[in-house]
Amino acid sequence: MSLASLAVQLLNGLASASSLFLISAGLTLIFGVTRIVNFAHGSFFMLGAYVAYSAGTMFGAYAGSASGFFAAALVAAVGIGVLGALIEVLVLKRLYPAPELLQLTATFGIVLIVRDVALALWGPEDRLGPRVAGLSGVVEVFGRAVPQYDLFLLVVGPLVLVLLTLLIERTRFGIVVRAAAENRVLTAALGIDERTLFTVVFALGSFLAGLAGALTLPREPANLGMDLGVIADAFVVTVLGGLGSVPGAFVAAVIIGVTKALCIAAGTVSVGPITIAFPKLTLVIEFVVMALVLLVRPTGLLGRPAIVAATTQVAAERALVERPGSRSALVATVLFVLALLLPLAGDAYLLVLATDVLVAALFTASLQLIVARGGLISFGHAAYFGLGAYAAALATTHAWPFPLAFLLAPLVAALAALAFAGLAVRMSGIYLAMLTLAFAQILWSVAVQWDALTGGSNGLIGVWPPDWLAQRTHYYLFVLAVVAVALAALAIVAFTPFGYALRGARDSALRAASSGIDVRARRIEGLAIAAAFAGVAGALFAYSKGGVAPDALSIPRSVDVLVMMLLGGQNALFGPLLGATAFTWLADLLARVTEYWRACVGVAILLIVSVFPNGIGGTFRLTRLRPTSR
Amino acid sequence: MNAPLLEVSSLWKSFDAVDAVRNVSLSVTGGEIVAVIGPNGAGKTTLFNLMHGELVADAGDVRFDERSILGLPTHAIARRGIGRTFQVPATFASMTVRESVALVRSASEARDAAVVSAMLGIDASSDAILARLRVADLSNAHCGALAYGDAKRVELALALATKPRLLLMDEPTAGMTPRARRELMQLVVDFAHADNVSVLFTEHDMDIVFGFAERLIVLDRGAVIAEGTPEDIRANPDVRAAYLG
Amino acid sequence: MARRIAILLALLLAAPVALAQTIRLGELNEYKQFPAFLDPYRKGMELAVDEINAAGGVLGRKIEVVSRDDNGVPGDAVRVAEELLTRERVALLMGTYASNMGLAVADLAKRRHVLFIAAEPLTDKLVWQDGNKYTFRLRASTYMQTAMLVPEAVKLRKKRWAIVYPNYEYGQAATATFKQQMQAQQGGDLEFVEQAVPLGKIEPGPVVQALIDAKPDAIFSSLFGPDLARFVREGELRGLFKDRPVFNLLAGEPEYLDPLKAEAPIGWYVTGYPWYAIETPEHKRFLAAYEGKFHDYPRLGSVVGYSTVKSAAAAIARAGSTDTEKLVAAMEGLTFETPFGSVTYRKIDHQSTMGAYVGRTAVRDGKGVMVDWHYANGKDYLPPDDVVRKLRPAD
Repeated sequence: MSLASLAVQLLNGLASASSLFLISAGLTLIFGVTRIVNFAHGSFFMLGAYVAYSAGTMFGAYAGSASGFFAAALVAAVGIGVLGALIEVLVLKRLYPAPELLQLTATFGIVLIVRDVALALWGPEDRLGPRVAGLSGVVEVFGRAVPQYDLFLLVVGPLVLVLLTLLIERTRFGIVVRAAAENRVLTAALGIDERTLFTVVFALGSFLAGLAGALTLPREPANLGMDLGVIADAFVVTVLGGLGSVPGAFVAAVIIGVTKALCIAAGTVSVGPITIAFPKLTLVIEFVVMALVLLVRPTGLLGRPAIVAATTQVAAERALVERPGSRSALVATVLFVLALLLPLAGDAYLLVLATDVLVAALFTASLQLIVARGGLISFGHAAYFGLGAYAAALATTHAWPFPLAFLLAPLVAALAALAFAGLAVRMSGIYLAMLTLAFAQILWSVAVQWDALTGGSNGLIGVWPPDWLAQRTHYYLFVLAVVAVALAALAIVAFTPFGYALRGARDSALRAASSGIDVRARRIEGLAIAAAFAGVAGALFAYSKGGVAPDALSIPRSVDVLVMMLLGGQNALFGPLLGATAFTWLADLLARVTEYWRACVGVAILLIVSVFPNGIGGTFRLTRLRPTSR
Repeated sequence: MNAPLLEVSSLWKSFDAVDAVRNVSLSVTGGEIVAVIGPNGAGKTTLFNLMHGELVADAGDVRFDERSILGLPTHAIARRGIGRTFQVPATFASMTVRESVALVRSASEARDAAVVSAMLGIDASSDAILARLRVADLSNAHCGALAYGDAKRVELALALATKPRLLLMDEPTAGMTPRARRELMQLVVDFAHADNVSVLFTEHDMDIVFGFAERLIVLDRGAVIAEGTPEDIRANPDVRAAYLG
Repeated sequence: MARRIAILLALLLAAPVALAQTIRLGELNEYKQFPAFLDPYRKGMELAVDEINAAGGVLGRKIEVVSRDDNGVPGDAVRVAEELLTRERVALLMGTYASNMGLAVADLAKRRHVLFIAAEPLTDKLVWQDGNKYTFRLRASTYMQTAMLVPEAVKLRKKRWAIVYPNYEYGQAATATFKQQMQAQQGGDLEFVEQAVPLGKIEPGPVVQALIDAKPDAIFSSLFGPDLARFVREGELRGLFKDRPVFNLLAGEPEYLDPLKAEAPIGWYVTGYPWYAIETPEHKRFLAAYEGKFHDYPRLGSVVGYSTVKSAAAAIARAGSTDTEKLVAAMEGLTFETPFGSVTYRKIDHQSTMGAYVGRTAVRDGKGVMVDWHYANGKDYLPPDDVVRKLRPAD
């Protein structure tokens, strides 16, 4: 590779970085001020592209009018900004008093709705963007053609950075934003109306997402995969740069854009016997970079440790962990007996569906252990589920006997958790959550790439339980037995000395340590136990489906389990069961009823979180906060 | 005379080139009640955090019971026998008071079996501690629902339930009424005398300091500027200039 | 009273019989993942069902397609398939688009002893390494479509090839097949440089630049969808395609060519579907019927959906029953009519001989089209039987 081509590749990387920054800037603002993990940001980006497409058609952007395109971009950005404000006011505002992360569930619902709305409005076909008049040619750089539009983006990114920096550093609005990002208590003390501030910031962030989508249109056709395509990248940039730091996001975008370009430029390199195909790394490189940076700088490149904990303080009522007692034991027994009788209903499919629900409930309960009991957020819990599934599947395809293959799953998952925790446990809050995401994503890419072992993107098939479990009824009863025992164990664990220590560390790490509790060790153990149970769920899953594919490790699966936990109520004893049932059953039911079932699931999720802000189980919980008797 | 229970020698700590603690040496003997006073920013909390493992010193040593505890993590220091309370009371919001005491005892005594019974609510010694600190009637309340003054007492109960030989108290009476302050400190002193617990505390309220401390250490800008009995300190011209005014 | 109960019982027993008048075909697909292909596919199925029923159905019974969205997740596909089998009591399963989905359902079909007609998954493993008795595949596989392009590539006698592909099984298999076939047919000192891009997330600038810097004589690509659109635009701008022949699997399919409109590449060698120019009677009839019903032109998905249902009906007719074992026996060697002409499911590996159109791209009236095309019959692009036998496990 010549120096000239290296220089041009750097330029390419910077152009990509610019567009990555545009997407991430809005997210980091929203994240920094409102602490909302906004999954819908990618959807706003996608809508921005679609709206710009339609507006561009109207304004003559496709007939060669540059001003037509920019007018369309502005319309898209403003339109998405207004939409963002509406969603904040109508949906999210109601959820601020709710437990942390519940907003995440709502934004997930919005993702589902937006995707179907876009399909209904614009149809399934990709919509190619216009070539922008005056920017549609190329410029010669070191004897190589570089598109003018890339150079234009190269300018827009830094320009937006400067404008945002001025806004944040030089205006009263900016002071308020900074105060809110760093110290909530201070914001309240300054007499700032947080409600208006959140709406304005959400609108501004959405405006930027819409703008990014519109400006991407000349490079990428508007398509229905854009939302999920960018959201993970945007999160990575936001966290890598440091939460709420706009300049940080810029630096992070540059690092990722340039690293990707260099991987592509390097091509396949052989050093002695080792051959590395660098372009293949682009599948996961941003997550690797983020993980490495977070291990060295736990709050990102330019992030500062928040004065007030990064996640809003858990209010006492919500922190309450429901205690298994005689009433809950009765409920559990009744449920178990009903489940035992299910095969008598004579509907084989009911057993298939119930198997799925049980597996999901166990997976959810394992997440509940570390999130709700341990206070550690995980966006990558699918890592352990997937590892368990792959371990059992691989052992089975290598002709291990079923009991051994099955037991391998929790073992592998727990060992992976120990390895991960050893690296990451000193981190907390959203940064830890993102590291878990990176960990899962790296495993996912290994599963996709390591064709010889994992079957690559096709995964492994032919993983069925032994003959004595071959019948649907038999396998269902097996799953029921395993899950019942596991759920009971997880419910009881919170009330063992170990569980108390874990919860103590969550309630007050200071008090826990001062009492002689090794907070770090307890958390590592907690993660390992949770991972082991997730691994069991993964193994049950693999045998019920006859195999496993990389989706078992993927971000959507991690998000699904988070949504199920929150839907059910993160501290509710029966939360995992309720959440898994509601989510699985709703998706199954609606998918059969309507073509637009995703949107319906989205609406259902919004309704559930609006009506039951503490989750379904949290609303009907048996334990209430006991007030002081004085 | 016995070796001191706690011995801090030539401790240094700086943040970004600012010396927060400069060459501090002090000692506390068994059963002694000592106050650390000084203006805001004098380095009192930093000093406590250094002794308790939340921060690591740049230089110097901290010895407890004749063994160095420098560099040990907080939980290990706690197990050696140093308890602590904080300016803002730290309790376990999701647990009842009794559960909290049981948890704390399980962690410090590492005897799970005894504690399981405590968690089931059939444990006399947890209740005894609560009774001694006059919070027995709160034992079934959730810590997260306690009034401020009650939370302070419960926190104290949690710190003492680990059976420490030295108790570090950061502003134990901050935010309380004068009467409640005296009551709380009287509880502490009674407990300390009965169980031979040493107490090292910081405090802004001079009535409390001079009313309860047997010995005073005065910090200013990270360094010890005076040490002695309440009478000595009252008479010390340097202290008057720097602090008491 | 007893009589009433008897009548009631008789009615209850009669109800399933009445339902069984219709033959139900279970279908599942990634409708939300790949709508650009599967919307037309669904329409194609509808047309086929209408035609079959208008002609009196099969075995004197009407047919009905019970369709499900499998969410693009193999685990969900297995659940949905179970639902079709247990609740809907379908006679057979068909559908799927992505390779991993096809393989998961194929394995279930083997397990539950039910016929599965994989409509679109291209993976070679479906009929070879992981092939099984109950699974048949309609569409020309990755291997076949690649093999259709290779003769054209060999004619050019180019030495240094740049290969760009989506980084998952389809792209990997296409790349491996292309390299292997080129070595076999052209030989000599061929050179290959590769760029694997994450599916749906190509970085077109750096990728195109890297390909230019590699100074290839020709390019082989298996990109499709938004990745293809971005690659085309960026490559044109930067001059990657100047004086370099480009081969691109699938790029002539209306699903991927039409969104490019006037920017469609010119002179690329592609596989695809020139629906506007095929003059065979069977296709003209299909085109007229499709346009008449939907007021839209067919995509390749339409042909796949249509032909899948037609093949299922033909199999049932030939079997004279909906019994799985009889259906499987009927499927082996079954010849049926499609808009592309007669097609046969091979007995040896259950792959159909449905072909694809191979040609060059051009732009006419502001739209991408295929020119100089010919129909490549699938049966001519499969390995010799002894090779196939080695690839495929015995049933």
